[in-house]
Amino acid sequence: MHIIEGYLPAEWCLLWFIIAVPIVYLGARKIIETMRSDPAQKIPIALSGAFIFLLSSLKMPSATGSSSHPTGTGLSVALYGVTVTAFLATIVLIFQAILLAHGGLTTLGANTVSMGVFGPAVGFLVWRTLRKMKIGIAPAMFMTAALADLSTYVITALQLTLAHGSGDYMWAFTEFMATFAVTQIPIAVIEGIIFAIFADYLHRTRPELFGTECDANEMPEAA
Amino acid sequence: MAISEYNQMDALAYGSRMLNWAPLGKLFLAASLLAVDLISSSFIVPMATAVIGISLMAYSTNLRLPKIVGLLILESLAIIIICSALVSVMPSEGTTIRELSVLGIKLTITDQSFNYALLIFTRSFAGITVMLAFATSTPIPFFANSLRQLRIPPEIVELTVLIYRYSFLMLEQLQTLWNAASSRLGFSSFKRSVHSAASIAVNIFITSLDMAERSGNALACRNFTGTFPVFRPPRRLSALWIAGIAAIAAVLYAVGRYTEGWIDPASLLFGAG
Repeated sequence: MHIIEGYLPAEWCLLWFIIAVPIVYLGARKIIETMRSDPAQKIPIALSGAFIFLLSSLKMPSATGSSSHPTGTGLSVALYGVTVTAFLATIVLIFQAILLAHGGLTTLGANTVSMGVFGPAVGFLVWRTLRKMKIGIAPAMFMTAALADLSTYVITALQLTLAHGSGDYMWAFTEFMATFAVTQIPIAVIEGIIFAIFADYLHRTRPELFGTECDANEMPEAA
Repeated sequence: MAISEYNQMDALAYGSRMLNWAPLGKLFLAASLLAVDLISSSFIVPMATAVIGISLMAYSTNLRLPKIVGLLILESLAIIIICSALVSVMPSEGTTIRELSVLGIKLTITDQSFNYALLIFTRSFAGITVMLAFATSTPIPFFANSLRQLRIPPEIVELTVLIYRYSFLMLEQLQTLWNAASSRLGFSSFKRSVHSAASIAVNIFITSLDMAERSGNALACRNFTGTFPVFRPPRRLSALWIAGIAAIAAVLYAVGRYTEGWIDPASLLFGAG
């Protein structure tokens, strides 16, 4: 759920832009360096961006009876890290804003911080920690995708609280969490399951995509 | 479904009467209108912005507002109404105009929270019209190519175009696989739906990766150096565009300052304030 155009006051839009820009800039620099040093990488990176966009269109059933879509950043952060994911998410958010009027231009900074920075950062930490603990690809990806998704909505609720909850922050945060975040728990779990199956398939068919994250003893026999 | 929305918006943009306007000019016009909307606390400014947005959209689509645009506006309106309703029950100062009880929770709407929620509603609605005016007139490749004028590194422009093109590649495959899974009752139960969605995601990613690698090799064989040539490059942002945008923004800002407090919806509707 992106924050819609016009929903945040100007000062908060500016603040979230200031927070997002350096991280997105680092991601852009990293991508440029990667594309210059290894031009073959540009296609997988572009595909990851397209994949994030596509997953926004992949509507899934929700336990609440409604339908929603994953953020799609779990896989990208596991493969490329936080800054690259932040940059890819920014491009996707711009596409969604100017092509489908989803999200907004003035709320782009806030949406980038929640979907492109904070969510992926949580996902990245979870992924690295679980992989260091020798947890398998599928369960590690389940936790990465689910927590990246869930934390995106938690930070969105926090952003809305800071902007509109000046009367009573705790009350406002509870209200936004109840409306936005809690309904996302089943969706986050579903996204986790889908990505776990996805990572398991990908690990068996294209193990090289996981690079050094994949231990030799986990390599499938076919590989 | 979002897939067809995406394709239809793209087709609409290529057929727009504003296609040949400078993409950066249109983007900066939209951004400046949205920024003035946020700075001003007058209701007149978002209303004026909405009129500009709707007029541009009508001109762009040749006065034939396609069903897809109507659906996008309705979808956005539903979200805006829910979000504005939430803001209206936030604790705030002012005179109480309504008291509600939802699931045992006592909610209070004051004149200030009501006016603020309505201001957010008009700002958001105006924002949607302005962004749709841009969306219905600017294809992404035009927008990406115009970024060169801002000295954006060519790698970033190339990546933007590639993401856009691969999105279409994937969307086409998604549509095919989704229909195939659906016809095999792949979405007949919750468990099967999750499994089908995961299988589709994997298949799309893997086949797209293979296809993209082949297209990468094909581009390399044709001496692709990282720049997609455009037969007719989009118009550049001119000084006239910048002056026009600045003038519109300045007029709107002045109107906002002058008309601040003119409209008090809580007072008009509930006699409060």
